[in-house]
Amino acid sequence: MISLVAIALIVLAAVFAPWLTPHEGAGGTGTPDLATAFGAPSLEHPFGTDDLGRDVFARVLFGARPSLVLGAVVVTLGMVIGTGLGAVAGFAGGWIDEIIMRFTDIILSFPALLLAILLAATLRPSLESAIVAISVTWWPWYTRLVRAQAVSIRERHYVLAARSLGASPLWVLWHHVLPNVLGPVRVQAALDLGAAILVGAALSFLGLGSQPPSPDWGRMVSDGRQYVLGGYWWLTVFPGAAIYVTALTFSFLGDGVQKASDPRARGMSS
Amino acid sequence: MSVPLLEINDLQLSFATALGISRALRGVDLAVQRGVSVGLVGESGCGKTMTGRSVLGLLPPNARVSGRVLLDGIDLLALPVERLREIRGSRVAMIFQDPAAALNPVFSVGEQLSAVIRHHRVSLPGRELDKAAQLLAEVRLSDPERLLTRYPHQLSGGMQQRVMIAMALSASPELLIADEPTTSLDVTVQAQILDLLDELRRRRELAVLLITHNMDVVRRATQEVAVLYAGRVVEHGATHEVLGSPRHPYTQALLAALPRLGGRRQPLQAIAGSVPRGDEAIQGCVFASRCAYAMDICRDNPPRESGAEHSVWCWLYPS
Repeated sequence: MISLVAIALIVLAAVFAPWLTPHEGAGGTGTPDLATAFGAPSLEHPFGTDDLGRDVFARVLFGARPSLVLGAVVVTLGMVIGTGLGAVAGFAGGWIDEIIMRFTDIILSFPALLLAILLAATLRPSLESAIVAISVTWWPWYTRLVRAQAVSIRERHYVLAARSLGASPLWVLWHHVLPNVLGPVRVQAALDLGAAILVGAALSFLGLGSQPPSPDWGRMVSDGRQYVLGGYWWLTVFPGAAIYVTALTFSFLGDGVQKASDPRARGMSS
Repeated sequence: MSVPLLEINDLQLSFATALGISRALRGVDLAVQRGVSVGLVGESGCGKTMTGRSVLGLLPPNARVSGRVLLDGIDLLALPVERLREIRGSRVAMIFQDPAAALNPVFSVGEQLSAVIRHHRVSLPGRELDKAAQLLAEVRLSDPERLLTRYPHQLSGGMQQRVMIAMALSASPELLIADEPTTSLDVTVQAQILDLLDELRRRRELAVLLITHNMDVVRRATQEVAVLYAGRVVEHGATHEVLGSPRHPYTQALLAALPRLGGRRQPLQAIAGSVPRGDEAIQGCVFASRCAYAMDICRDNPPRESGAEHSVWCWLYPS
């Protein structure tokens, strides 16, 4: 519950960023003003200002947008593609299963982050490329998870019972396999949101995510890094903290979803 | 005798395994009349369940089947799978040993029943829940409306089995295959379920193939019984005849092995030896290797059916 409130706050902050800070600048980039560069946190600039004099608080607020979009799109794509392929593979078995799972294994055999970096670097670096690159490395996990579930569900007696009453394979897939795999998938998705945001931050830290001047947590940490030794800690600490808090919150959300999605527990309370 | 609803001729079933061919059914002959409950009894592994599943074509992918399974003259084994699917549920339905496992845990009773009702289009669109409640009432479940919103794990085993029966009957099949329907239930609940099946059989003219290993169930709930051994029917007749004066040495041994209450104290009789394995080739009678009366002819030639009403497949009874 608490994590749900925290996530709502983060999302609201991202959506209503323009109303939460007077230092929006063009499209949330913050207003460059070299006169106020490297300002320490103050009432006017609660998170201080960066090397170009832009308000760090505003940029952290607006930086939530690419991170959240990336997390949501990557997880949704991974979930849809992975669940579809996994359910078909596990349910159909035979050569269909072989083809899908060997392809999945090929993707999984690359270290995920390296593959994502490679893909993002090959494409023109942008938020969209980062999303595509991470999605490509993401779906196989869902395929594996769902396939394992589907294989076990296929052997359940209620599937046999449904078939004895005239159900077609497609009907069984839709009415028995999918609803029963959705529980674990939902939990995985909630846990993954945080992880995807972390990988997204890693890519943009390396300059492979959204491009300047738009604000982005990963790149803010990366840009601020060179000034840390100069004592300008607020350039990296605040966006870093934003990444950390967001990932942690989504991880808590995953735990919560896990507890809530048990149909037995749901039945008790009704 | 009228033409039976279900007629099984020389049903053979084998599985291709890594170790070779394993034979599950070695030529089953069986007939079930409309409105009659036929018990199919035998030890574990003799092919009871596989006989039932063969009728609906619900066999593992490595199964190879031959012979004929005639439903009202239609050979189910020869039907393409799409046609067979139309028959499943609408003409032949099946219930299983463990009702808890046969219901999907994530859907309510109402959702599952309506899905079947909608699939077979046995109610007006939008009226599926009314039909579902009606079916639940027919299987003697009280307060059907409330039950529709319940999930399977909130019901007792007996109630779950009643829900399964309601689901199986939703499209008014003519034949119900009940695979050990009471084995996982309490004894008192067993009797109630058997009584319910009997009531439905009479009211709906339902033919029932009751698969069980329990002689008391056979005595209580069937009119005819077929005794299966190592994938062959060895004796078939009216229940009171077969249980009262068994003819086949296997049936005699099986009944002698039942413990009795009261009377003389005597050690339980076990049948010496064990059921032939699936990979053993059998020339003659399937029971010859364990039979106390086995003759030379039994080992070399399969026995023919003898007796019209009370049939037995045994060389002791020449036709």
